[in-house]
Amino acid sequence: MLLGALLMLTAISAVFSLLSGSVPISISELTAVFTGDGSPLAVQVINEIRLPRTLAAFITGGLLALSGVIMQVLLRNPLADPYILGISGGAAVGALSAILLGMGSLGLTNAAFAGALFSILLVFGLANRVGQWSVTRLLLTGVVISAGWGAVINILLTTSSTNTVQSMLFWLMGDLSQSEVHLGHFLLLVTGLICGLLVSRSLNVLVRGELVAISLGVNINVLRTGMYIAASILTATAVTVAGSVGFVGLVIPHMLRLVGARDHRILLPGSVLLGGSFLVIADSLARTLIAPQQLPVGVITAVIGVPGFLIILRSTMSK
Amino acid sequence: MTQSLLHIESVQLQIAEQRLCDSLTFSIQARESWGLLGRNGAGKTTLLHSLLGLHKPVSGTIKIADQSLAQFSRRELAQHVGILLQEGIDSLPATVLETVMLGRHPHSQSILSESAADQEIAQAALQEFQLGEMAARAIDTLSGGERQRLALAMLITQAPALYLLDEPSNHLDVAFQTRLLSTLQARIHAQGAGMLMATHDINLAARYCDHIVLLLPNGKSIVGVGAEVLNEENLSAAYECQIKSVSEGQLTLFYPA
Repeated sequence: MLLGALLMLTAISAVFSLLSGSVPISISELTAVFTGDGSPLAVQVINEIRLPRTLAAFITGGLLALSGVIMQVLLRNPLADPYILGISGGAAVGALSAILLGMGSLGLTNAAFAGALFSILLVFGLANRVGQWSVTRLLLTGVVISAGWGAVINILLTTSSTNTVQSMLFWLMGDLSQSEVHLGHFLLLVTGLICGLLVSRSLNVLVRGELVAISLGVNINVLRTGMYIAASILTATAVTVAGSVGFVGLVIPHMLRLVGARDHRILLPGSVLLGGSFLVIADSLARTLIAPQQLPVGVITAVIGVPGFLIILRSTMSK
Repeated sequence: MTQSLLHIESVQLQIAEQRLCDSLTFSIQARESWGLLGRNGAGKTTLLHSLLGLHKPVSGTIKIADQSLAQFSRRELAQHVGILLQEGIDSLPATVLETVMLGRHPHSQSILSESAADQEIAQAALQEFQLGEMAARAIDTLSGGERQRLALAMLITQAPALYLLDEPSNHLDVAFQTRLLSTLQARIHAQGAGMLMATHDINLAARYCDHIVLLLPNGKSIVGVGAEVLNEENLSAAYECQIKSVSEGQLTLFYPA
């Protein structure tokens, strides 16, 4: 039911995204493009600009929302989001250094990914030294490392020239205008979702508490290590595609929980669909609201996400 | 020789430098109900947790169904041993039926919908603890007593061979205490399972347990048939406080003097 509605939303958001932009394209022209007899201009705009960008937005949103669900269960903390353990901070330092050194977009992507990977290993290594998994320890380590990255980011921002600061800020707020996704990104999202579904029942048990999960036969050490690795890879990939787009990973899982999707067999695919279509819509607005100028998509996610979330929160509380 | 559900031999536990349960030895057979008594901090909960592998004994062996505890995977262990936790169930937004269904987790892990058989087991457990009409209720609207009943229903849904109960009478009024423990005991006997119940309530243990493990302050313990272990002298030593008893018919009641 819910998943059906979300699939509809996904389709609608995709059409909305393909129709928005500086070159006006009507629905009939759009169908013409897909049936193979569109005008050359429309074909070029759709296939080379809007479709790749829509896919990038959907995949990024899906990755972030999926990672958000996992982090919230792993850390047993409703405030957890994909960035809480410093992955985006590491990626940002990598990306900003690349911008500072004037590297091209490939260099930037690689630097961001390397930064994220370094941060993941650093946090995991520090939090795990005793060989014993402790959620509090992991959370504290992650938050402190995150703060450290924040300081480095500020140093980079304050010592750079105005021109580079502009593109740095876009990266930090999350921006899809330079994004490229390929089949690998999509496969990663699908694999992440399938792995999540395979352990979804164990996740349902884990949210009830550590002892409950153990007593019901969940090997929580193995499960948590897997969750940390999975959430890290998903986040690192999303961040290298689009910078640190905020809000999606924090709020999308909560929105779904508020409307009753607490079973992870529904919550995981639901988050991918809602996160994806949410970012598709946000990105469509980001590139049309003050066209021809583009806004960073991370700003729009917050601008429409904050009131949206508050409305759902209020309406479910009054029940 | 019949298989014992639990066999522990010369087990010694330690928590933060403090030694508990000095060379404790006992076995639980099918259809036996054991009570675990001792003052606060004597190691009741620690002992129950060590039977789930949550706490490693310093020395000694623990065997479940004649197999060493270390040889069990988490899931296999959960099919053999179930526990009613003292902390109870978190009051996350979830319904009663969803919660009770979690008890089937060690048995079926299909990611698709629950099997009809599992649904039936869960429904029957709810009926047994008079929660049938509350199946769709959110658990954060339940009272303390209802939550405890829910936790018990979840435990019988898990249907282990050995039931560990940590303070099962928490939040229950006297009427429910006797009714629920009778229900639970009938269930355990019918299933050929066994039970080990940690409690502060000496009289509850005297009534429902045929065997007693009494943990003493010096780390030693007295193990045996209920009627033999439970007397004024042993209990006074265990609680370091004078315990007296009165008898009426079959029933003996203990109280602090």
